[in-house]
Amino acid sequence: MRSVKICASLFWLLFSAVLSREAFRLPMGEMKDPGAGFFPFMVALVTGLLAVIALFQSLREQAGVPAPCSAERFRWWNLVVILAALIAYALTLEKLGLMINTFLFMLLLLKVIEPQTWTKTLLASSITAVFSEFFFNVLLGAQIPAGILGF
Amino acid sequence: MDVFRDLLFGFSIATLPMNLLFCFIGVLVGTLIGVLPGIGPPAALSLLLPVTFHVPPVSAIILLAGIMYGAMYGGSTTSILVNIPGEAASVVTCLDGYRMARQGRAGAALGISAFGSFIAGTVSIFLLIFLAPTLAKFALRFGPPEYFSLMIMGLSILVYLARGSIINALIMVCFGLMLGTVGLDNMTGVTRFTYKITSLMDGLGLVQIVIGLFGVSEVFLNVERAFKQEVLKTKIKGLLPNREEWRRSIFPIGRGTIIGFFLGVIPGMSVVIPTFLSYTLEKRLSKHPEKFGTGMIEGVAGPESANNAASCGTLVPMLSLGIPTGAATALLLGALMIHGLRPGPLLMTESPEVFWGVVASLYVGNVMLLILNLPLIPLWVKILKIPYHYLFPLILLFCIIGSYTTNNNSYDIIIMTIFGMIGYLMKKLDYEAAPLVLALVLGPIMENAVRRSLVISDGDVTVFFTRPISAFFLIAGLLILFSPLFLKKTRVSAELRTGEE
Amino acid sequence: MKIRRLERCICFLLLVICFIGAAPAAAQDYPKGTIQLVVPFGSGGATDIFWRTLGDHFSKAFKTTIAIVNKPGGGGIVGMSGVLNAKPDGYTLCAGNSDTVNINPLFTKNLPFDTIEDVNYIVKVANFPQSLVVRTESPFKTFEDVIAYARANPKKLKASTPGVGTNPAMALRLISYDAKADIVPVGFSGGGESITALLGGHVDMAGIALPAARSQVQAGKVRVLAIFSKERHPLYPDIPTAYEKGYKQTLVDTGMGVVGPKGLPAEVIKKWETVVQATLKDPAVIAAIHKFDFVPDYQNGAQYKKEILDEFNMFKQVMAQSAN
Repeated sequence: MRSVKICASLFWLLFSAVLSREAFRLPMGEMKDPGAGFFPFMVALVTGLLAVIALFQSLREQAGVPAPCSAERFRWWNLVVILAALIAYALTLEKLGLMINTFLFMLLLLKVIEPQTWTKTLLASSITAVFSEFFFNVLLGAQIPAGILGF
Repeated sequence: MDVFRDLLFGFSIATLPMNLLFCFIGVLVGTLIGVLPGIGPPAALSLLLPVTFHVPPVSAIILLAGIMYGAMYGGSTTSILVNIPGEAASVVTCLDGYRMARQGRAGAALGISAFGSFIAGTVSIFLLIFLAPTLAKFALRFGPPEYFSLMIMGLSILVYLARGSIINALIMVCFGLMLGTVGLDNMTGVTRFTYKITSLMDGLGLVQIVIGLFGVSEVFLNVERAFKQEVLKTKIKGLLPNREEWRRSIFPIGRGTIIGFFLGVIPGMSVVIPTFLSYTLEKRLSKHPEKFGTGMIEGVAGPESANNAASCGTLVPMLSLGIPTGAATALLLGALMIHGLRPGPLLMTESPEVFWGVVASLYVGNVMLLILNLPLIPLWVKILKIPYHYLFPLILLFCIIGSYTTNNNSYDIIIMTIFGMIGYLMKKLDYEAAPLVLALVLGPIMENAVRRSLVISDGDVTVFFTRPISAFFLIAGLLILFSPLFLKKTRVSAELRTGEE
Repeated sequence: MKIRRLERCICFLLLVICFIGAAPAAAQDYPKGTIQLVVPFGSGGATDIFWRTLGDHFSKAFKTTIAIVNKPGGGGIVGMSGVLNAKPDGYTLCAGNSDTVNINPLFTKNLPFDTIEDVNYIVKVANFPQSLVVRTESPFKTFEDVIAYARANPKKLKASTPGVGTNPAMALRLISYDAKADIVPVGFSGGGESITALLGGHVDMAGIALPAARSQVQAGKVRVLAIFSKERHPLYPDIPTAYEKGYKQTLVDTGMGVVGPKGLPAEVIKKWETVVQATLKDPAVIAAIHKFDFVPDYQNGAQYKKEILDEFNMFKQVMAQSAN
């Protein structure tokens, strides 16, 4: 845990360095009329200060109790699949539309994360797809693209 | 008393069958869009606006006010059930409400927020009737310096908000403040940190960040291991708050109402701020501040009352001065004008039936909301019985739709996903999301306020200390910030001391 | 048995989906299907409500549905850029405010499109004036009072605006340039905040859209000193214009019109021009527009584009001057 904390502090230090540089490129203005860079620059400086304090704190910390290790296997694959599914949904929404996207999204997640039978998966996905179009777009008048199934 | 005669007159209008119907439609739609993250009251208001062209102005305004009001009721539902804040104003409700749900007390949490909202609504309506003109004049005294000092005070409550390390909480504040600067700077028109991405010009959306940090990251945490079946399947104990919970909640509801209403009156004040203030106040006053964040009912009752009282408070400047305090009230003003009414100081004398009709309908709507919401609680709680492998894709879908519908921009889904990942890492590394959200809300108001103050005062910094209201908030902020050093009884103070060694 | 029932359900659902998927036909006798009119601002703003109201009337005239879709962001840039990338068939159009195309480019570098070259200006529908207002208690009774004071005391007067890059803010720049009167603009977030700051006495005056100030004017809280249109407002003939007082360059209206992607068929533009021109003669429509305090202002595509271009060049010149 100690090394993780040190890494996190170093990350914030780097973050603050990059930000203060970026903020400094914006107009700073003067006391009478502070510019766009004034506030972000101040915040970046304070972040740096805090990161240094955090760094010293974690350096002085004893390499104490190791985090309790879970018996379960860490399933990083699940996270990757969900991330990919979310991004794919975002990228294809304008083209495919709410119903198709929702159908595919449900299909993927139901089948991959904790595999369900095909029948259950297909049924759940289609119900969700049709219901979401009906509920959000028809009933609530949301403006989610209908895509290639469009009216 | 004239006021009571007027109010009775108002009720005689609000209880006409047609107006009752409109009020009901309003609160029903409001509850629905409140439950759904993303689609906020303004969107629903503008969709229904054309419908109102064909009805008398009073009915139209009653319908629209009902939506605004109902949305505040619905906002807490998803926060409590699945950790997705329905509106930014329900972020704080996630902290303890979701924990209560995991302990099988979802019904109690939903119940107390419905009752709390009802009580807050009722009290605020009376405050609105009696104090509106006086308060509205007071609210106008808030210029840029006052806003700045108020925001400083808002940020100082962090010492109590943070559960773990103060330094980490402060880093999160800075992170939140930085995120708030993304986009077009409306003082000079310079774009900041947008890196040529057009969708970032209006800044990072609060809703997307909040949904990501809370809702999406929670799903990530739950799927990283084989599903523990107990994730949400704890036995549900009781559907309503019990006597003990009522006893603990009644004062938080009262305090939340007062804080919410008076802060809501100030134009340009986000409803988010009173909820945070109420939460930290309850934590400060509690005998067990260390238990906050583990499912304390006070942490639900206070903020939920505060956000309802605040949305009632925002009507004060709108009805008595004709100035909008937010997107929703701006739309109500627009609706009044389209119906040929003159919002503002003259409304009460020129169209008393509208003014008093609307005020009375607020009360009627409140009663309807309570009647509507209590039977819904068992239904909502049933959602938690859905097996998690079906529930989590639905939660994600809900997050997606919520993010998309705020701006109808699919880019926002990506922002939400990124913040879902950030939220996941933050939980792993013990960084808290609440200070970040607070800073994100306060940051832009604070920055603009300090810059406007300096422009108006020609660069004179003393403006913050010489104006009485501003000085008051600054001193209050300092007292809050340093009081843990003197009162060494809370765990928070212990944390602060280790932080300063 | 159970499975067969499930299969039947799925088949039915697929059928439903197929039925829904009837795509709109291509345009020969335009319009044949729903026209999507993107309002590049949030739902509930004055622009949105205006287009929703007019959308109803246009729907009747076109004998088709006009669906209003909100795509807010970047002062109208996000929504408009989406429309400009759509297929130029006349079924995806954008309802624009003039400041999106003639002020935005002055402040924002790297816009995703060129606001003059890449935008197809179809028809202008209405405009509304910008105004300079003071509190009723203010010592300034006329526009000339303000100018005289500001000339004698440069940078002393502070005026709230709804934010840099908005029409009222541009109006203040124009005054400073045209009348050589140095008034400091203080950018707020939107007209509501701006008028609140004025009512609270935190600034000396406010540059604000006339419709946004109306209720305060009627309540006797603020006084309008001038509007920045060329002609007086038909509903408020008592309010003088800066133009008639000799400030010939202090001209800024918010024009509202319909734009689309390049390469639209000529008949689509023609159809819009005819329909808008006819609709704007309908007394009911005029009354509806007047309720917003807007002024019906029909301009065909060519006139509309020229007007935007002229304003853009004027603003560019003023910005260049005031930067030095």
